[in-house]
Amino acid sequence: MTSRLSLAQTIKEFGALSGSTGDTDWAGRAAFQLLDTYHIKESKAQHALAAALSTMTAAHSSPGTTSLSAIELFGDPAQWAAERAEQWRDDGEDAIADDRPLSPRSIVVTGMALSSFTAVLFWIVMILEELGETPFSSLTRFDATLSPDGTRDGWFPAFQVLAPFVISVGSLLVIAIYQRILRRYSFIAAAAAGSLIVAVLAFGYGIASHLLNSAASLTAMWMLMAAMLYGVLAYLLSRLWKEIDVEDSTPLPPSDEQWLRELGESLRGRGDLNDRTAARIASEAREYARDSRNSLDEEFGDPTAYAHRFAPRPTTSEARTVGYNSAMVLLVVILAVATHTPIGTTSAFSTVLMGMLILAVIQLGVSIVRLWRARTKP
Amino acid sequence: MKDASDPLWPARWIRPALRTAVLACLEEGPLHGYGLAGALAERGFGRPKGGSLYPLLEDLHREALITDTWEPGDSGPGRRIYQLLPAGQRALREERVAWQSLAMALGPLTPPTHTAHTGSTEASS
Repeated sequence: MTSRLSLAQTIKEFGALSGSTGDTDWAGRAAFQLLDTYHIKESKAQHALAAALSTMTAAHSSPGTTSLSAIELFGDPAQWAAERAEQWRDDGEDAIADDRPLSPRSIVVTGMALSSFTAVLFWIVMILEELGETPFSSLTRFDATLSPDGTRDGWFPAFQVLAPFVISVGSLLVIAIYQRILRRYSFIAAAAAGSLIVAVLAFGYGIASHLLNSAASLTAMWMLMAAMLYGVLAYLLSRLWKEIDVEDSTPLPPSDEQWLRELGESLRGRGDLNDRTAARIASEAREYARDSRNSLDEEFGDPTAYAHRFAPRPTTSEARTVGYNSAMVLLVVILAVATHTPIGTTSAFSTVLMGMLILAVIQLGVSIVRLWRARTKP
Repeated sequence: MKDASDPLWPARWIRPALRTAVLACLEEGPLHGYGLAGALAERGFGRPKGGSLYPLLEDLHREALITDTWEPGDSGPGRRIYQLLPAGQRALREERVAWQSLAMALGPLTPPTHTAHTGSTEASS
């Protein structure tokens, strides 16, 4: 019965069984480890948790036994998840989630939904900034003018209604391009391309805002209207634009060349192995298959599953996280320079930038500490 | 008919022992990947698939128990040669002791009777 539940429902069932939120927390942490750390398919994670739930149900219904919590029955959730992942790896089970880069549909639909959320944040910031300085009636009315009233209280340049869209879709676009180049070529190439696109987008937006900021102005309510519009567009696009399920069109085993290409893409796409390790793993596989006179598919099985049989290198993933967070700090600075927005002044965009900067600096600090801990861990 | 590359024990026993078996094979001297698979087969572990062997070698490499060097081929492509490091030799010694104590724990708790012991000794000699 539990196998028909979704993963979220299965997690909730742990708490429902024992009446303890600690058990829900255990299941949630175990699921997070399986999905995030080991890239396990959601259905596989659900089956494993459903099996654990059955064990727990049996333990609870045994006469004369005291109710054991999930941690007492299964131990630490991270360790439990690691053991499940290792067992599936060793058994060669098809448990690894397909880690393809973001599709064009995901970029647009998720980007629109994120734009809606970001536009609401912009609107809240505008309202908070103007409260007490601008009459409330001015903040709740829809008005537009073709004059540069953006500098006046309660108004903003009409062009900035696109800021949530540019930030949200632009970020996803950069992530998608980064993922594709990382899989196809190398981390260095992906990082260089990602940085270049971020710089071009930020300066492009800066130049456009410089030219268009004085063209027309809107009242704050228009940002709320934009949030609704982005939300509706996200919903419509998600209904009308269906994801094309990319099935493997070649039922035949892949040629060695195809196999090596898929292995390289999967190894680099993991993000926790450096390019040199990925190249060595591929060269070892080629060498072994040549000696054994078998095909790579016969010796190593599915290339994506094989790529996930290698334990992650925490220092590589943590070092890359430091890189991403440094890039975020740099992005905020570039945005501020490109749009001539001094951070900390009383404008909505400046406050948003300040928020982004604080968040990015905190994340950078945390990632540096995690990298240091990963490097010094014996 | 049993092939030389067939394992002598069930796969569920071999899997946890493979790490120590790889260290033991490399104790004899440096080997390349396929040579290592052959050495494992000779010891009765069967010739492992590449998909089982290399993730294990990668773990041992990361734990600094083994090292690898690239050896160019005389007429063909080169090979990567794996070699045991001093830390690997220490780990092998410790793991052997642990496996031996495990094997002892699988034996009978009480010593066999004198008659039975004598009988089996005679039979084997």
